[in-house]
Amino acid sequence: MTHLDPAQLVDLLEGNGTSTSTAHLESCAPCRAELSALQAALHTLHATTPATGPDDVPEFSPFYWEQFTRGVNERIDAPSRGWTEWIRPPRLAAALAAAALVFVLVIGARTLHIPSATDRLPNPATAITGTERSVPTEIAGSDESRDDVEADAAWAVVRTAAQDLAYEDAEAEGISPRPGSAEIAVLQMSNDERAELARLIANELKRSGA
Amino acid sequence: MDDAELVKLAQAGERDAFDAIVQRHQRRIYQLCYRFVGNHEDASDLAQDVFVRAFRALPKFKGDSAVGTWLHRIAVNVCLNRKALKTPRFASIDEVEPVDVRAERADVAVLRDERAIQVRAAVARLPPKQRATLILRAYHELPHDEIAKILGSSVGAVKANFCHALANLKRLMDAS
Repeated sequence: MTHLDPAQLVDLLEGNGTSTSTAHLESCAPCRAELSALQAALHTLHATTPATGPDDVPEFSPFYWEQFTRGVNERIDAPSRGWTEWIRPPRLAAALAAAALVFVLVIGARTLHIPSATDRLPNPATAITGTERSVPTEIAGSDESRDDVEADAAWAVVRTAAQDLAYEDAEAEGISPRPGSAEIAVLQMSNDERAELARLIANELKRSGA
Repeated sequence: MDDAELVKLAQAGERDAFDAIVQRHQRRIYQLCYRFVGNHEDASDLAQDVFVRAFRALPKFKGDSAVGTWLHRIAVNVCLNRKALKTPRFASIDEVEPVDVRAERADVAVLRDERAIQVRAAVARLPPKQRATLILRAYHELPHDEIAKILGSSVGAVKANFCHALANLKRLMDAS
């Protein structure tokens, strides 16, 4: 048996059903159940509108509508806001700040390298030779990278936090990095992660009064 | 003066004629927007936006449909396309306009208001075309053929959308 389609159900719901639809409904329990569900939903919709009138939409004074019309005209007459919106002071300042931040992060990521292998202390346990470097060769920089590390503001925060940390104390706490490990870890971070690390360390330094 | 004449004058640059169109339809358009967003601030903003868009589209309006239908079509598009309104902010029970409760007990009125908020939230969760159809049919009581013109679909599709909207509404209300 073919059931009533949605349009036929709506016609029945609104009292416009054909004799064929009505006859089908009398012999089809699923269609009756479906129609009953639609009637219940429609009843809920109508029952939740306030008793004061057909609409639960706020009613306003003529003054409001005068203001409304005036508002429409003001919007129509307002100058078009195209791309020039972006060169207005507040947005321009925000855009420049964002550009400066991106610049700093990109340049910082490109110039921040670990110290060269020759600057590192030899690790007796692993006995690094010139050909067995503990870091990937592509990130083992030249001597000039050391200057970049010194100049990097974010990395300065890390250095400040670590400068008073004795190796023995760090080892006692289970922290025994190989030379260059921290640098490698930082270089493997994203810009956002580095910025967050710098922020956390700065907060910690401020909290401890360092 | 009827809408068609006002449109011709407005197309010729008569701003007073356009103002008359706004004044004639603003309440209805506001109500439609309010049904979509459920709060005065957004409804007022959207309704004004509808008329601004209508003004800019005036030169292209050929008069194939009634001005009211045309404005409703713009309003539905504006309401459905506003990104910030994907999750409509409905007025809480404290913000709802007080209704005439002289004829009913206070607890009954409170329950009805709570139920009304649930219904609006459920309507807001319907797929866009079902929501638009339900609002235009159940609240604005527009005939199916006019809804079809507004939504750019067939009468059969409008009836099907109305049927699905009611069925989904029932499911959402039962689940809540």
